[in-house]
Amino acid sequence: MQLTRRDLLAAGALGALTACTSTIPPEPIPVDPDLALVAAAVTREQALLTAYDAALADHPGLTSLLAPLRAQHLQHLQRLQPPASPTGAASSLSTASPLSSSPTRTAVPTPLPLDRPVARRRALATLERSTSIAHGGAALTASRQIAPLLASLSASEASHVVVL
Amino acid sequence: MTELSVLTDLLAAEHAAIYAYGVLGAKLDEPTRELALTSFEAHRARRDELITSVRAAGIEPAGPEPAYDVAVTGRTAALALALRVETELGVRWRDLVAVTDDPRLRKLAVLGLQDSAVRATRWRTAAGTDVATVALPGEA
Repeated sequence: MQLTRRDLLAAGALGALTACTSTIPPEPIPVDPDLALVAAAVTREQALLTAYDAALADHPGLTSLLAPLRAQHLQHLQRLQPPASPTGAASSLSTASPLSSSPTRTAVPTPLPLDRPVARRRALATLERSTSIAHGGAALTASRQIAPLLASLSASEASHVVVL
Repeated sequence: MTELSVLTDLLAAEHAAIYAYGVLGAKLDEPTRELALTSFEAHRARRDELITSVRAAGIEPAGPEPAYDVAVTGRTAALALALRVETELGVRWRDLVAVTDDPRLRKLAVLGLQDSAVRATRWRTAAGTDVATVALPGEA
């Protein structure tokens, strides 16, 4: 079919309209403040896991004490990062900070002399305490959906200090 | 659950906790009796904070029941009761976190959950439980 001049003008007008539409700035996507809180909590839990792994490697005699605590931190991480749905779409929480990302691990107080088990336990207790405070602070500003989990994590870390 | 219903539920639980510690403390030896005493004082302080919060909501707070069903026959039962008290209070403090946006109440709830988790850990330790901590205190 041969296009008429009218067809071409109409197509041009449509193209111009499309072009005009595409130049309109996109609506800003609202950022969920919970995502940053969850991402920070994930980073803290990963730092704890790293510290526990190092302590377990250096002090096998502490395994019966530390292994259950490490397992609880793994549970914390799993609750903060639920697995992807069957369709493959990750939840909003899991996209906040993927496990495969490289977290900043500046929170681990490695400069302490950790060659003795008692020193290592003390260092872990210090890290647990600071993490408890940070989780608790996040629970104060988080939404009602995520605040109870952050509060539970804070309480769990506080109880870890007791046994360390 | 509303903020006020959780607050009144918490207050009732704190009344029960104070009664329970008064009973179970007599069945304990040192230093667990000392832990019961400090727990008793901590719950009294929380009770007073909750009374203030309930009054601020325009409701006259309920007082304690005349008695509670807390038969304690010995040390083991006393330790179990103390742990149950703290575990159940933890659930209620977590409930409060979930229903309030009031900064003061949210802070009170977060601290209440922390304190109950710490005390529960001390009671599990006193009872000789292998793993004295839990991953998610307050989660029912």
